[in-house]
Amino acid sequence: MKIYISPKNNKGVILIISIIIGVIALAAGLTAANFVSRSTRNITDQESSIKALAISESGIEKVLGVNDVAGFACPLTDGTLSNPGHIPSLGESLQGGGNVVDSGNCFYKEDIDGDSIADQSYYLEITSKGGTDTYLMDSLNKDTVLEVSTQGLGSDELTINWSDESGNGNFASLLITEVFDSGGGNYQAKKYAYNPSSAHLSSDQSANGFNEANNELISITLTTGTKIIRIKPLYFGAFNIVMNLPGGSTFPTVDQGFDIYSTGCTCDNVLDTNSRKNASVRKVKVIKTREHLPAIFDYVLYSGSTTVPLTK
Amino acid sequence: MKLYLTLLISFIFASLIFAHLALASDTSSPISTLSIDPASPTGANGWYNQSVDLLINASDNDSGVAKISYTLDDHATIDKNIDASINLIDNPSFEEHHNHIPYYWDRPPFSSNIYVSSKNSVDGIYSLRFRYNIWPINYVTNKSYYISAEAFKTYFFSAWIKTNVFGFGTNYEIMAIVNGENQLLYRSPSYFNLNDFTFVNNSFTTPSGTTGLYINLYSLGWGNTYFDSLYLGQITADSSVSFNVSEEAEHVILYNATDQAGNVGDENTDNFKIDITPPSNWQNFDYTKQGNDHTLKVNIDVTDNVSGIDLTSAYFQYYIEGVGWGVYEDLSKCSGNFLLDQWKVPSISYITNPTKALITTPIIDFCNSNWTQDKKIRFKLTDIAGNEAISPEFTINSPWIYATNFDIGSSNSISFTSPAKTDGFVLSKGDIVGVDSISNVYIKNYLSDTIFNTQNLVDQLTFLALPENKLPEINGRYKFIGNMTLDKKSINGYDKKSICSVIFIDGSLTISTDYSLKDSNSCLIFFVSGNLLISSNVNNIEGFFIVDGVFDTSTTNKTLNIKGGVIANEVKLLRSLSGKANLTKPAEYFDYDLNLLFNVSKLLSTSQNSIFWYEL
Repeated sequence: MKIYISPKNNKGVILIISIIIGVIALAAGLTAANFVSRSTRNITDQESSIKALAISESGIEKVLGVNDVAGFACPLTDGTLSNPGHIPSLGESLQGGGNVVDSGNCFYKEDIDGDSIADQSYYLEITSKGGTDTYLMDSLNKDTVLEVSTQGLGSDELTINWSDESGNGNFASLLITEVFDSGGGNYQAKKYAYNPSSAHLSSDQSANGFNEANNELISITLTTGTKIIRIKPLYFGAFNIVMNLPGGSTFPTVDQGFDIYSTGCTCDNVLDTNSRKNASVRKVKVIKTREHLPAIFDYVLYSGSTTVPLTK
Repeated sequence: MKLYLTLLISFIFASLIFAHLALASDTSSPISTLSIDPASPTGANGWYNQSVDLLINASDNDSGVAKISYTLDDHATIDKNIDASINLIDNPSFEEHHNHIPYYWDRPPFSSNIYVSSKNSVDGIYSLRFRYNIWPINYVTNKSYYISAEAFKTYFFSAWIKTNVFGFGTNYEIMAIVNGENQLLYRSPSYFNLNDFTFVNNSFTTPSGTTGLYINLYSLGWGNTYFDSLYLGQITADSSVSFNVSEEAEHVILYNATDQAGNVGDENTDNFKIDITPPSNWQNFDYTKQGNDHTLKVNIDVTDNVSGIDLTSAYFQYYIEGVGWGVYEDLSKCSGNFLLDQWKVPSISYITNPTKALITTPIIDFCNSNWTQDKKIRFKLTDIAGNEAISPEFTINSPWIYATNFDIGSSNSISFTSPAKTDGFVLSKGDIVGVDSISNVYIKNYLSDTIFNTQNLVDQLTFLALPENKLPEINGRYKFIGNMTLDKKSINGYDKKSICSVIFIDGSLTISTDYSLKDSNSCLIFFVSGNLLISSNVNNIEGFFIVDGVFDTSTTNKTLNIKGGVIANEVKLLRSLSGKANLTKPAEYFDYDLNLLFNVSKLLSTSQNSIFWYEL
């Protein structure tokens, strides 16, 4: 269809065209504004999320200087302890503004900009790696060492179970060294080497002659005078390591390390649902194990050259 | 639009019906066979001493092979699917037509009694009907709409036929266009009295020069014939599967095939065994005096974890300086006829049948007590698969090391002519020769991720300055820049106090005096960026030494006792005891001090090895 524009009716046509152009321009403008608004909100959300992570991590950092949860007290903003050696009790107000909401766990809020209104808060949950019959380790890299105190335990049957990384089928072998006091401070070592179950062996593992675990579950009878066990994964990292003692026995707490959970929030009270609305919340877990020597100390003699053999 | 919708629904319906009925019609099972390359075992006693290529071929004369399955040992079953291509025939069920004349098919003149009918069908609504056809020109063909095809390809054709025609009968032809000429590839038998639709099919391979394929359908006589649901597809994949097996073991393979109609062939079983690795793990080298100190019986263990040791294959020869490798005709005498390069048979018996054996020589006279002259022995034997191994050369009365309480390792290989003794694990990036471990754990060809140098630790720690050339007086971590000599003066009374310290020498260290630590609470850890030289006059020291350069024990004839441990980029173990002392004493003795694990952990534990972060 053709449209003929005559001088008589062209004003109306121009008006209609103007309105159409105006509507299009308005729609385009609104779309652009909405896009910019959403992009800005995404960027703001990202910044807020990163900030929440940093708040979580700052809570962790304030605990990491403490070696033993038995001597732990909630940290102050300057990183010192509110009352070193004192175990906070439920509801106790702490010097510096924090308070304890349940035994051993700390809530803390900080006023960053000095307007007397808290800008950020975090909640720390701290549990000893000892004191129960189970010791959990989320992951351990290949050729690194986890050391667990077994001080004070008798001839208990220690079971160790481990897994692969997210079902990727790569199951580590474990080298385990138990150090025990045979009397009068005369330390001796017992060694164990375990492969995963035969269904999970790689070709390298199948040739090493280790014992095979049944479904990645092994059992070790601890020696009287036991002090520590050192666990080292070979070939692959080990994941979800679970150590269990028989009923009635618990891992010692002294020098055992602890788990720290820190929930950080860009709000004045991470524990309050209303306060968390429109704020970012991130949670971090840190396992601080018993302090121990790195894996390089598992050798009495090692030649590190890749070109020169160890000979005599 | 309605037509297209009808066709689409018909096509889907037809496909489902066809698939279902096709499955129900081919009742013969596919056949599968296995071939192994090499065809015959390359080793002894039916063993291959190399990897093998396995090929499973399957065939099925009716619907063709759809799947080959195999299971090797206790591994998961592997399926290889062999898919036929889509139907290449246009209008295969005669659903598309105009006035009952099918599209993509031609009928000759005067054949109006050949038409698309809805009276009977396998799928969809229509089929092609031949009705009381006695006119001799009685066929339908899709020659004008031929299917492009290639030479030497395998195709599968099928159709459904229902007929009660008597007279000449009903059949079909598979035709090829070969070098521009029409060539009959297959003519079916004549069918009569097929009261229900019956599935007929044929697999065939195209000849050289093929460029096209087409189908002729015939029916001549009194009665009615219906053709429906034709299919022509290329079998695109080879009906075979091949793979390589290098895993050393006695293998069992189970395999079978499934055809396109779902018939599963018989499961076949084959056995083969592979052993590539010769006997190894020459361990527990030992000898006992038989009279004088150079007349000996020599023992050694050897292992073959796959096929096992062949007890009939063991030999030995020995080396006398100035004479060479071989054997005296009378082993108990160092005189008479020396058989150069010859071997003799020892006694041998299983420790673990058949994988581990003990070899014991007869009494051998190694001629003299001059231990500065080399007296060596070596062995050879084969495993049951026929892989021959020659042992390393073992030296009688040569120096050896002893290492206790923890592990021995190398980022290269480990090779000792007189076996090292240890109770820890033995780990090496290469081979391990001449180490006897009570733990019996030898981890070969292992690439460790552990960082064996000082820098990694130094970077994570802080150090106080160490007063020049003197050990500290209080616990801590200290750094000294330059070369340091540890002598009686620089010991600085360290051995008289309970002190535990880490000292980083950014240079080389020479230890020129014996010393010991006061008690079990004391420790001394050295990080040395250069070399560590133990002077020849030094016999007893304590501490743990991590050395980026060379650790050198110096050439002397007294044992070096280190209560601690040594990690070095290069280890030079140079000591050898005088006289017969090498028979009973190690030249270097490394006794790991387990107190280190308790005394030093707070000085050297780093966030890298004790703090683990996870975001939830």
